[in-house]
Amino acid sequence: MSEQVLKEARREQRKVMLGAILGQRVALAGFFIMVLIALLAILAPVLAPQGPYDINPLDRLLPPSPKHWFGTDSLGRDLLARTLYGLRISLTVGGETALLSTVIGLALGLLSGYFRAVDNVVMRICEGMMAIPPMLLAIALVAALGSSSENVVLSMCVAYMPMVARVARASTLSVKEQTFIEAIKSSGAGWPRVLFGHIAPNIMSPVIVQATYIFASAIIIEAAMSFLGAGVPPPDPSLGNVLYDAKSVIFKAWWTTVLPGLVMVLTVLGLNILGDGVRDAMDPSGK
Amino acid sequence: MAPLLRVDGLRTEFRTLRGSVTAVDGVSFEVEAGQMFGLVGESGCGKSVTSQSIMRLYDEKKLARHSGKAILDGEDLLSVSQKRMRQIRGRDISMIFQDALSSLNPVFTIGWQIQEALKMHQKLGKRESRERAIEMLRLTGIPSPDKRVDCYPHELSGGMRQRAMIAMALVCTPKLLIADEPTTALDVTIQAQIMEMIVDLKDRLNMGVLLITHDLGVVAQTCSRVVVMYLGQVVEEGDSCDIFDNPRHPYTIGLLRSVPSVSTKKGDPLPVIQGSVPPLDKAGAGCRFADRCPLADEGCKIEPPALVDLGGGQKARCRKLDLTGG
Amino acid sequence: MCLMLSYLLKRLFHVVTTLLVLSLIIFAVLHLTPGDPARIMLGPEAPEETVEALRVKLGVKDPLPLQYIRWVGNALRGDLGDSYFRNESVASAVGKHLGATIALSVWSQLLAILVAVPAGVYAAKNKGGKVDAAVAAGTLAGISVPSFLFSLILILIFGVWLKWLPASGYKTLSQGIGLHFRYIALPVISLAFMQASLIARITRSTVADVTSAEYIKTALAKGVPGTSIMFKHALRNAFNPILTTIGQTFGLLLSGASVVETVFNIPGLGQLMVSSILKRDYPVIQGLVLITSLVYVAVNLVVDLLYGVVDPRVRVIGENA
Repeated sequence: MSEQVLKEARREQRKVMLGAILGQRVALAGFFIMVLIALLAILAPVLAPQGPYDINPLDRLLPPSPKHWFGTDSLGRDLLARTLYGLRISLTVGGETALLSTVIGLALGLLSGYFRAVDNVVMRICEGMMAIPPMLLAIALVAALGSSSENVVLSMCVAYMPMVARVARASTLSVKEQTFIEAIKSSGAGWPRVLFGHIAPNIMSPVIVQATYIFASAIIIEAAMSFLGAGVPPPDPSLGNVLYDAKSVIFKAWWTTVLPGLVMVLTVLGLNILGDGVRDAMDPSGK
Repeated sequence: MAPLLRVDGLRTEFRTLRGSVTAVDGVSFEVEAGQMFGLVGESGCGKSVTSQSIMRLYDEKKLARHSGKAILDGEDLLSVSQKRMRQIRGRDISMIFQDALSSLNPVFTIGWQIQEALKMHQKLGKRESRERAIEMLRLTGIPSPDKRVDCYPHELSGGMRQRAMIAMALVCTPKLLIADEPTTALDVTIQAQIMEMIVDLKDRLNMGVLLITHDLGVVAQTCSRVVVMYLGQVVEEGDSCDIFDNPRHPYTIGLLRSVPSVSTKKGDPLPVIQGSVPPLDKAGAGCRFADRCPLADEGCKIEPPALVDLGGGQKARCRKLDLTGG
Repeated sequence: MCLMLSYLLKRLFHVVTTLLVLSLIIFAVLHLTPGDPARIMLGPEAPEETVEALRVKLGVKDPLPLQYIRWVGNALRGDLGDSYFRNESVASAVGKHLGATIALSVWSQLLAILVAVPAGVYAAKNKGGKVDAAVAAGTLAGISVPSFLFSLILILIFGVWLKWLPASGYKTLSQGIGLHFRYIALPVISLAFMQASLIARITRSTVADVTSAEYIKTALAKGVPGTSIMFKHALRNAFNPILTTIGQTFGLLLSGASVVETVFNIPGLGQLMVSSILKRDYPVIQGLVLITSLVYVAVNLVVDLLYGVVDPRVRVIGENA
């Protein structure tokens, strides 16, 4: 009892103080932020006062006003429109990257966790790839393939895939040893059924958490790549491009940095909180 | 002569969300110098909390509140400052724990850890303190101690780790050693060796030993006096021979009966105490053992029994002592 | 000692295989490039014979395995080839831009460690308290605000509004210590923020784990004072996860440095990278990726070795380290 009581007491203390501030409520907040952000992106054509490419040379660098909530940029484009459409592109690029790298990484991780022969080859390659910082690998690939949003997604996917593969492999290794897998095997199931029908569903939670973080990170990295000239090519308004344009007029027009920046932070924050929340919900030991 | 340690009405409460829980409720006993004293009970009866309260190891700001007295050599441990308590710990009272592997720090050699204990309380040169550490390891019966002193905990066997921990606890020759289930995690043969060694060192250093265990066999072999605890309270106390020959509390009787002995015939069912230790906050107003007691009546569930002095230093907390008398 | 040596050899073998795969990947990426390097270098108007001569000289017509071996051989001797557009070798271009990036990354890493470790320890010690909540919120912000955006915001506040610090440019240490730090302060802070957040998060959770370990109770029972328990017993055990995180996030720092450099107009590797991407100067891009990865691998090797020094158990287990 004594140890139990102690543990419980400690856990409860944590819950009372921190839990109220940062616990599940925050995960819920993350979820709502993401719903809001997704709605903004989907409704961009309705919400934006004009098109994101419409240039009005007379309205250059206008501060926020009822007509242009976010002001205008150096070409007189409406910043709210560019931010909303940029959000659309960033979410698409980030989401596609997360989805694609997760699917491929999951498959590779499952196979290399299950078959030793595959393991040696795949994991060596993954280790080599992970020795290159993901953003640099993505940049090198975009530079080689040519700059387009498809290539940006493809490159980031290559850069992130090894991380998912590693997580999936580690989980596969531990699930594979469990008794129920033995039972299924002894009932005569072939390896594809065992691997994809029974092991895969059991390793989804860490993989999903990883996917959420990749989503957030891909949005940041795409924007960073825009700064280096290897992101979604302009004039398409990704959040990175919008902020890159803001850099040159930072002395004259603060709103071009601050307002789109806020939207970007909110998006990444929402995803990170959601990821933390999902992780905590799945890991009851609560670190 | 005053006893080495006198615990008087010790009460430890833990603060939790649902109010406070009293894990130790008015425990009193006395340990003499050179005595082996047994504190017995099932897990969850508050015996470890008792010892850690005496050592003041709980976080007193956030978690635990103590009351009562624990007087060691005329000084009340429960009322001294934390600073003074640090001087006492390791020098006057030492403690060894159940699982030596997790109780020794994995990143330091055992020599370093023994010397750290020395360094806290005595001014010694580097070489001297190393020699003391080796000497201590030799005393605990570790073979080639001059080599083992540079080993990390994971490089030693379970029995050797426990010996190293005992060496660490005794290096400043404390007056009292608290041994919290020192042999539970070990093989049976090693258990006996370790207990023998503790008894031997106790005699040599003339220290008191407070042995916390659920193993009545160990107590019968080594302790001269015993306290039996149940749900934070002392239910029976007495000299070891009295308790084992003539237990009076139904809980003690149940415990003793459930120990298999050589005379137990094969095939005979081993008697057990019905049920299990209930959670602390579920304890009723009356006798805490009432729900599991074969002798309990309605009165037991309402009226809390007092600790009755039975003469000859034996005491028991029961209303039905007339039914349990030898 | 013998254990330590075998651990060392194992790690080195691991690094060699990693480098082999790494070089293959980088080589493969370059050869995905659709263009013809000789044509790119000489421009569309150059006569075919000149281009053909250059192709032979560059060796691009040799079989791929031969090209790979030649490239690795040259790289091992420090020769990363020549830039298509600069009148210099890749090595010399990198050399000219290396200083600023090293200064930026080293200062950022130092700042991040100095802030994050104490913050994480303090938060873990006062779990559930106000400081803990503040650290949690701060680190969440740190991993959610990209470094370039944070740079822009810092420029806006300290360069544009308050006018305390220069908004762009770079001065080397030899141009004056004060000047160097005035110029590099904002870039370092922007880069250190995310780094510090990641380190503080892992510090908090590992220290919290470690302080509830049994051996902490043992040390307390020996009479070891609280600060000593924290810094000797707890932190030493928490050291490895923290060190691993520092090593792993060093890659983020290196790539983050490129971006921060472009924002602040610092003549470092990032700037070289941007101009090379714009001009499709593949040998330079290839060299940059290779060098950055080598640094990253080297840092992680050092981390792995320290790991073995700090935690005696690792020398035995080794493999999973």
